[in-house]
Amino acid sequence: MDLAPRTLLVFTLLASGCADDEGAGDEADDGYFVGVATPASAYEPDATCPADAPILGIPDSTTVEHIDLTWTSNGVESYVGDYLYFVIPDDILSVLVAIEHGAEYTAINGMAIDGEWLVDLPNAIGEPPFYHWPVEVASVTMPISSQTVPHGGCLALDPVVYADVGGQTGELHLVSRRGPASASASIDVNVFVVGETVIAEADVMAAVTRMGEVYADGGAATVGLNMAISTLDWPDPFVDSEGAEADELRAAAVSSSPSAINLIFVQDFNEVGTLGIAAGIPGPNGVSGTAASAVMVSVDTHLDGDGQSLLTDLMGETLAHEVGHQIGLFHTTEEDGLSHDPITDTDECGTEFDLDGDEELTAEECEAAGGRNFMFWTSAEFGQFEMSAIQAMVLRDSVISRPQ
Amino acid sequence: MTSHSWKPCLLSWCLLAACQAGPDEPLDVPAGEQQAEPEPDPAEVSTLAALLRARHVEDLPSAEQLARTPNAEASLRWLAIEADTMLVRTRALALLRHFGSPPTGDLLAALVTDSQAHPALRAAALTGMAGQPLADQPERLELVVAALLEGGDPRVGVAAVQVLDTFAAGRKALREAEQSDQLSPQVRAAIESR
Repeated sequence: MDLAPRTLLVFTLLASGCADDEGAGDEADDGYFVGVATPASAYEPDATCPADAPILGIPDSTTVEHIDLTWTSNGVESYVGDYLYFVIPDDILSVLVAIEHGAEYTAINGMAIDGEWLVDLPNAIGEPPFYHWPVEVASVTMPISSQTVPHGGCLALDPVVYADVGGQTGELHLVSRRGPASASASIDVNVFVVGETVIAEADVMAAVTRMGEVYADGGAATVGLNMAISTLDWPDPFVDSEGAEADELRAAAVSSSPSAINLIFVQDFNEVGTLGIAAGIPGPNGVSGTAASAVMVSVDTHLDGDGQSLLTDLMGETLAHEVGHQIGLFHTTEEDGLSHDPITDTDECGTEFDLDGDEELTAEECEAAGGRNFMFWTSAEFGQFEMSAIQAMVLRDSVISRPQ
Repeated sequence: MTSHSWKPCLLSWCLLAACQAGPDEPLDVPAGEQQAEPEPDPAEVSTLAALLRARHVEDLPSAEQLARTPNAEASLRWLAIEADTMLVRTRALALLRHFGSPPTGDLLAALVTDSQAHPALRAAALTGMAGQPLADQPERLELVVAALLEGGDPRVGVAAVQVLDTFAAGRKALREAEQSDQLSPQVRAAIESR
């Protein structure tokens, strides 16, 4: 179930707009980013944490910890001096690691538990199980599949910035959820309506309700039991879906409930025909005020063909899909039928379903093989509300969900 | 004309009449004097519509993929008018930038100048006009410049900037427009950020 490199690049572009990052000395000639030769990467991380390594989180709660990082630069990229070690307690349910330095590209250059590599960019960039890649707020979360359920042990991290920021301070965000898995969970929602965007509160509610139906029926979580709707002061309801403006908009979506998922409603994106966009796979959930701390969705792209009525079911399915990305889910099947998510119980629609032989698999062709899954690569006229048990577990146990 | 009534009129106008006209010919030629364009293949239209429902714009069909579809241009034109979602209509219009035929130009020009059409559709139609030989079509170029200067919904003006920025005469028009005090702040910003 490997994801092809092209697909991974698309995921990254989709989430971050990295193609615009001109001048970075961190891209290989073919446009792909490469790992950084940090001092830490010269040797293997210890399997056992130092005695003074901090313990993540608090029992039976979700905890967000922020740690200042002082960067050392090699003139092109910046890093810390050695691995950062943290003790993961045995009652860990989920964990998220995020690296932030403004809107600069960051990455978790190396990540290991008990000395076993989970992320190793110098040797295996963009590869399973996390397909990690440099983005504005580099984030890795566990679990994103049944193979990535976290366990107690020693977490080693080697964070980097793809910029010469020596002497400056960045941040490491650690979100940990401890306690037993729960049979049911809920996801709180912060809705931000941008600038003069025109959308009725009833339509916002209807869309979030539709998203909630997808998540609840799939056994993932109840959505929006706690929901705050506010207006975000912004000069224009038409915004870029990626780049500096998108980064600034997402960073401005700050509420009194940082543990909720942030949904930003804009009138439209400047890129024609954009439904919505997650800020990463995953985004830095539980951490507000960063360039990647929200999912954005267009109102007008969800109108009917005459522009008269809002299709709230379609909008709700867009929210379900993009929040799925933001929490850590990939497309179950990509358009070519060759690439699939790392989840073992989602239907895979392969090339044998390409009935018209055009080398592209539509939801209709895949209707009996995952075309109704909410994380399929296209939307569909027949609605997409199916969710596998492991997808539901990823959503239910995520750091952004809370036990119910 | 209401927004409900213009669509079938535009469709029949495009499919049956003016779409057969050359770029410099009048658009209001009676339908009976024109050869009707073949109806698009329903199966192809259906498949194309399904692909246009991609969750992410990065996954939309490329020019190469469209080239493998026998009647992609006609199918996109049909979807640009007849699809029942803004999603498919705007994407079909924008993808028409890969085609430069007169019928497509006529359809796009009609939408750009239709003040009753939704601004998202007009902006998408302007995006589609990037495939038209605007440098050789002064009247069409004028339409785009008029959209640039009209004020109102900024999507239309910003899309006009993006189209004009793709060829020399368009860039000249942008330089001249920059002196105008009619430009909205968003359009001026789009020009300045080129």
